[in-house]
Amino acid sequence: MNEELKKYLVFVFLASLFLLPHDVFARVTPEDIVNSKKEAYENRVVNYSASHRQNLENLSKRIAEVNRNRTNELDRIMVTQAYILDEYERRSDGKNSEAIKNARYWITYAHEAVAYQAAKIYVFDLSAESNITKDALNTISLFQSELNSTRAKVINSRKTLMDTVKPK
Amino acid sequence: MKITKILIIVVLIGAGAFILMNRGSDSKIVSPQTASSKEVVATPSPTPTPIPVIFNQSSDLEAETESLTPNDFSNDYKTLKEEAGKI
Repeated sequence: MNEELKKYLVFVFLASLFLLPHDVFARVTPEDIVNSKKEAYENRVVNYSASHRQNLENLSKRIAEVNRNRTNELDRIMVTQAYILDEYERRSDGKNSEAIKNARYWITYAHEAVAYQAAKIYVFDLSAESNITKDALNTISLFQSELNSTRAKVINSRKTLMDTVKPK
Repeated sequence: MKITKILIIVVLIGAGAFILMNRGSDSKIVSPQTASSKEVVATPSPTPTPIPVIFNQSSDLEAETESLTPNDFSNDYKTLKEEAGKI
């Protein structure tokens, strides 16, 4: 009897563990990542001198301004590419559909890359006040790499469009 | 019969624990992060100046495409790096 009771108690205990609610962690979003970086930045920069804090803030605004201006420029190019392809398709009258489809794919791909780049927020990854210049340059290098990659996609889509509309 | 009683008790304990845990505290079961509850608001897509694009039958599409070369961004990066150097 005692053995049976022990078995039932063990069963009840294990079943209770199974039935109790557990934490479920939601997926990490891009906003979470940016907020986490901002929090780390704020925790570090609070110990920096006032002039360094101001300089970092100014530089951050400059990066955002350059990103905005250049992605606006790239976006205008992508809209125009799309108009050109539309006009070409109208003139083609059903011919060359595969090439048109291919060009449209790469135009959409580049246009999405431009929108994605425009939405990016660059937060300095600070190590120490003595490394402030190096930390700032690292962020600028990252920005340069990402914006150049976006620009390359726009140039590639232009090339594809050129190959499509060029008279054969 | 005994097993049935035990099972019923287990289910009741689990349900009771579930209700108690959710009553007094923030739900930790699912807390989806939505953009609206975040400090950072994603920068909206660029809204360019409307382009008075007029292509008609006589437009040279090849030439128009040729003109769509993005500017060189090197000066921007150079200026930013110079500013960083002054910090």
